[in-house]
Amino acid sequence: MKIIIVGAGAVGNYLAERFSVDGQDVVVVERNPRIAEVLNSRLDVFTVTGNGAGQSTLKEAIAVVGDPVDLLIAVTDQDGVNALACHSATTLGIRQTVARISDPGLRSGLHNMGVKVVIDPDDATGEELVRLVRLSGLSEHWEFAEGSLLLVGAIVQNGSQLLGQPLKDLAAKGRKRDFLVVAVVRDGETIVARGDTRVQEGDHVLMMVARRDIRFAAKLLGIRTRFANRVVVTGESRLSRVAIRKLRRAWLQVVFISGDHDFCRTVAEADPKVLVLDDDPSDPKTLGRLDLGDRDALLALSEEDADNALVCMLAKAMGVPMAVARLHNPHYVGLLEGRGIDAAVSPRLLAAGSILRYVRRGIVHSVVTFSDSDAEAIELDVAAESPVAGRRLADIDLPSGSLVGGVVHSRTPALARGDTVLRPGDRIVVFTLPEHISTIENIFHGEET
Amino acid sequence: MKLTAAVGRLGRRGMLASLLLITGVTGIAVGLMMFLAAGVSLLYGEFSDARAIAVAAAITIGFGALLRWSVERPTTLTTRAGFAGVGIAWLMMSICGTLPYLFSGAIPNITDAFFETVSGFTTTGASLVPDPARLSHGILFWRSLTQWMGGMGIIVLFVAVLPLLGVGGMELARAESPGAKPDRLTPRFQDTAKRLWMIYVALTCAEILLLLWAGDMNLFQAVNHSLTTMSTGGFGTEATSVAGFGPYTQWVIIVFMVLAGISFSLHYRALLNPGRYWRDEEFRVYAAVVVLAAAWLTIALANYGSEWEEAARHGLFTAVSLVTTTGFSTADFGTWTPPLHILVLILMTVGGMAGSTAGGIKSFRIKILAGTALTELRRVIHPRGMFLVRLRGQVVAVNFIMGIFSFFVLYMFLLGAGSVLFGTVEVMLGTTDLVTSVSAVVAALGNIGPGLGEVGPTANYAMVSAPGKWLLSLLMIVGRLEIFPILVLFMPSVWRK
Repeated sequence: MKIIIVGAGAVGNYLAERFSVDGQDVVVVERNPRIAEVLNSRLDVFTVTGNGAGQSTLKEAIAVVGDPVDLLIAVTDQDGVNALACHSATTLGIRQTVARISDPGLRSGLHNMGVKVVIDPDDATGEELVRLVRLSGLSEHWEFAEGSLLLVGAIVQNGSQLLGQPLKDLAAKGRKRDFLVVAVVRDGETIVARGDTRVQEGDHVLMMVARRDIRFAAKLLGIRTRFANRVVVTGESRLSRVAIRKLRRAWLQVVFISGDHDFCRTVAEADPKVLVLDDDPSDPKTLGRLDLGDRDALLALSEEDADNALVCMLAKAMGVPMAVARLHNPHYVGLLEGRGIDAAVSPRLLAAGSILRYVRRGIVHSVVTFSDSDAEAIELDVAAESPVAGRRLADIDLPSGSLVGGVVHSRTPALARGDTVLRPGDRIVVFTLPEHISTIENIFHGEET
Repeated sequence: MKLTAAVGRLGRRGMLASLLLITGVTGIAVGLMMFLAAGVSLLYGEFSDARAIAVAAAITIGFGALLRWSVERPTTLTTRAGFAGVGIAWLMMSICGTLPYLFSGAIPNITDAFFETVSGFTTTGASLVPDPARLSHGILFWRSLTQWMGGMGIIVLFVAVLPLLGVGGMELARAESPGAKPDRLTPRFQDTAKRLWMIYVALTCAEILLLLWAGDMNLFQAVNHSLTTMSTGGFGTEATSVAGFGPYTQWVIIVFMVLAGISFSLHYRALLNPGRYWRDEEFRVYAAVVVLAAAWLTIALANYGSEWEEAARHGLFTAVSLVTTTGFSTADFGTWTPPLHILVLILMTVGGMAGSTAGGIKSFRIKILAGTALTELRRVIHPRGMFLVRLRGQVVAVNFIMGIFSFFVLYMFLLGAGSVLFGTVEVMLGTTDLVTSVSAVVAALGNIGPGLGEVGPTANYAMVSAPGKWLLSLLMIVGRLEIFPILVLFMPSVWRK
């Protein structure tokens, strides 16, 4: 695949990295020569310096990888530049275009301008936050196979039944309810689960369960599943406004705290039902006055990572079961999750995730990316010509960083076991590190191995 | 000509020119309406009264014309001139309006005639006439007509609808019928005013027809009661108000009093879409006050031994009559128990919606006052909380809230100071108890009409002393124009160049 990325910000950077690891041909167009230089030296991608909305710059980029280019992704921080870049790309014959558009007022009519897919990082993050609050305590909650299989994640708490024993002993207990631990993220490092893996306190565990067993899974992870009915949002950012709107639409009680008087006013004007406090959220007294308890959740969504981390830690110290921070720097995510922060969200990573999903759409049904791990969970069908069709899972030689998590055979979802036999037409969920993605696709799609 | 020259020197385009113009045009308007009353008098064969009213009309028109054509038409009208002009015009028309009473001999005393006229134009409905049935048809009609003109705003009628002035319709309307803000239905204010007046006329006609259909009233009674219901005035043709008419007639009057207490621009908007009534926040406040008050009174009356239908009718009638500041009565609330008297006094100050013909503090002010109080209460719990006061979903600016608070403070001050002054005068010149003095002042300022005690629904204001009558008259005008247009007349800066 030949891909042009316009804008080497956090999203562009992340995407360039993922695609280049995948083995795609990537050209990054960046206006600032110094940023372009840094990117060039760090990744195996080609950079072109110039305005990505301009036809001449795009022509230059196309010339580098050679016509035809499959996809243009415009992810600068300016809506206008992104839309214009897509427009220019369309006139130059690039058929697939993705633009990051923050202003919802601009969205309609963009298709005629040549923007095929619009992504809004804040909007996607807002949805994610509502999902997290609803499932108080879980850090992930993804659906596969029309929602029959779930991939959930959480930081393992003290007292969890998962602690202490190797995973194979836990599974061997022959419980009625089923679960499958697919990976453990420890200190920012992803460990794909094996029979002898042991879970430690503070690990970020990812597991697959059937939908009906979600509460069981939460209990196993040591989470008290009491649903939050009040959500405290802090920090002035567009994301907090979007999140408040979505939380209110989900019938949750919302408290907003920010030291910015004018921003408080806009929030208060937008919705009379939101309790707005014009106060410093990092002052312990402010949160203290709210009498936080186990029915509360806290979302720290300011633009400053450090502020968000601090507010989350304060809230945890006051007994809030669920504290979520918005973190820009992806390196913080793995390090801080489980240490005062239950989950971290990054609009940029989420945006990148949705673009990845869009790009992989051809072969794969869905792709899930994680905030603190490079690994992906992908959903795909077993093709008839696949070399593994008709074989037991235990007999299939997968790359070492990969694992089949679930199999849907003739509409019946099940968690994967060693003796599960794959048949053509089955849908499977595979958890894998990114470097093996093309191998996985080949194995199950039956092209050359 | 001399006057023209004098005015010219004083500033032919300035403040004085505007004032003379507005006053003159108002005089002509009032005079024209007097001719209508003269016509009615003629129709009933009351020739001496017809002549007296016609003479009064001619003098009024002549006086108005003199003022009107003594100055050149100013090209613009400042807000200051608009406010002051409306205040002075109201004083002037209250004086001219006394002429039919004086010339016909119906009310020979100038103090009494002034009181009756002011009570008419301000839609108060407090009367000195012991038995209205004894007055001639022409005079009775004039009495009702003053209320009908004053209800919607006579200056707005003749300035905006009949373009006698040509400028400043908006400024005058703001002074004469104040509200949250001028509620425009159309880009041009003149068109808006026309539509509002059309609804006013249509509702009045509808009430006349329904009252006639009820069968208790003859045409004359139906017309008079309709004129004074839609204006929330409350002058009747009988000494017993509407207590002497049947239940059906009373229910019709209840319905039209409720309609008169609703903003006329809301009537217009809801014409094609009745759901808009309930969607309007001020309407919900108004409706809630009426329903709660009616329920309370009904239960109280039923408790004292009335039949349920009767209790409901009297309860609702009294609640509606007081909240819309009409002042009609079917039951003598003066004889009710003291706790209900307090409720009556409170209902007298609440008032109807802005943009209606009702007086009082008005529903939107009540809503904002209550909203602000609630906000302060919540601030006790969250000292740094940001709580905004809203009306119809829109955030209300702080200086607007301050304006409403100052209105409320002035209103309460006028009630207090008025009661003290009135009480003092009455005690010196006669004998009046506390309930009478307080309720008279409340009823005058809120444009209700009957009070409690010696000025209750079945009594009248004849026993009030002359200074007391002047004081109440002034309070009625202040209340009708919602305080500011009259109070600004006392501010030196208005008169400075």
